[in-house]
Amino acid sequence: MVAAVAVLSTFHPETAGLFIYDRAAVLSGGLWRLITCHFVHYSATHLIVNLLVLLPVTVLAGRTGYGRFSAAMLFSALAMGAAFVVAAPEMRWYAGASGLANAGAAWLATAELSRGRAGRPLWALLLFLVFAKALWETSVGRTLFLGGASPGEFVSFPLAHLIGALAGAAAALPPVSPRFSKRAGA
Amino acid sequence: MVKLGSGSAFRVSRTGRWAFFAICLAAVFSIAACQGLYAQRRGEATSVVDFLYPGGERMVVTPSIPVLKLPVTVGIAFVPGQQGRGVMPEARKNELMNMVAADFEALSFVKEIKRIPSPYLKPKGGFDNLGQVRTMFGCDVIALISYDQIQHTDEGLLSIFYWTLVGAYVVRGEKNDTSTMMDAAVFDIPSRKLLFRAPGLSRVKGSATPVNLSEKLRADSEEGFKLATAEMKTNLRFELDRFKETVKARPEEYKVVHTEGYRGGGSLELPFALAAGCLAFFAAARSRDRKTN
Repeated sequence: MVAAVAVLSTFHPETAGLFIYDRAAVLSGGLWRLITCHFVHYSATHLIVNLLVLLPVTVLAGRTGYGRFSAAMLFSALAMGAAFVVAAPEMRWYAGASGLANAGAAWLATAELSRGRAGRPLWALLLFLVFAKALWETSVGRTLFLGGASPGEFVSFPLAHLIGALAGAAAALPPVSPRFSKRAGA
Repeated sequence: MVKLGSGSAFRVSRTGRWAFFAICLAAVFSIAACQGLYAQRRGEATSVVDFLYPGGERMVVTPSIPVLKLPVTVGIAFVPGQQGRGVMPEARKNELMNMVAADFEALSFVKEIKRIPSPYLKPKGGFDNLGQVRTMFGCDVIALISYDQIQHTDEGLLSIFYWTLVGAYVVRGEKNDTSTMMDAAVFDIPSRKLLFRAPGLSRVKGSATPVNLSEKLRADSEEGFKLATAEMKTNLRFELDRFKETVKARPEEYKVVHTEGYRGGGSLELPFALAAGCLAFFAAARSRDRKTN
């Protein structure tokens, strides 16, 4: 369903208006846009590049559980949406799944690391890359590589990557409460 | 036999008659050839350098770092010609400006493209004149279009038939060659920095009778400008893409700020996306191998 929304809004731009983050519409009550905006893309290239991470992460999430993955994505989307409203008052529109891709990658790496499975160095490397890039972009204010959006096509919002990664990693951490741990183990 | 007025006469030999005929024929061809040596040349040109730097070498303009406020309002104008030169009609200028503007108005980072009428730019107006235009029209970036068109007219061999009088109306003995060069230079007005430029060239060849020569030259001139403008548009798109990459690569030389209402987006870059995707698969494959073993 997510892929269908993403493809539809990319190749039929007239539908994108219903799903894109529009600050005025969100503040008027269109809260669904906080979640659906991540599936809208400005061009086919924009969509494909984000899917290069989002698709593998989604496929591999089945190892841990799609239910937990979906909940983590929803949590990350809401966290990023709140950031758009609070931290970017001049931004009128937002679209793109890169924040979710970062969230998914961070969630997957954290989940695999916390389960103690083999391949931990690679998962740790993935987690490090995601956070290092997000932190650098947020501090400098621009994308790391030149292959990102061109000036004027749209403005990259690096904070979304950082918040997405934090929310995804947090959602994958094992619960701290002993009561919850006992209930989970039972 | 040739009779003279006094009653006397003299006989002209056959050789003499042929010689006389040959001399007449040679005279006619010589006159026709001399006409061909007289080629006409006309042209009109404008210069963006003369406009922006009226003081010549004495003028020193040090550009500062341009601050590009997106979405940007762009002005487009023809460089005014010197007195007596560069007198392209205003209607044609508007037509050519519309040709260029149509391609770029839809860009997401372009708020509006404003056509600046010629009276607002004065010869040798310089950056001060551009500052006045910026105040009046609200454009921080301006595309200045200059051109140089030369038309040559030569008489071909067929022009010998003009002697028949009717030939001047029906024989296309005039060979025309129209060479046009157009150049669009995009400046950031506050910083006086040239952002990028793009040329366009064309060559139109044609023929005409002496009677409709002016009409044909005007038509060739118009076609020459249209073809050169079309090529300039293509080159402008290419140069604009290159400029976008330059801005990304050199943020210390170009500052981009976003005014309220900008369009935000989340995008990964291809190198990172490939690396992260592959890393995730390798990590998963490794953990599966270990589990199997």
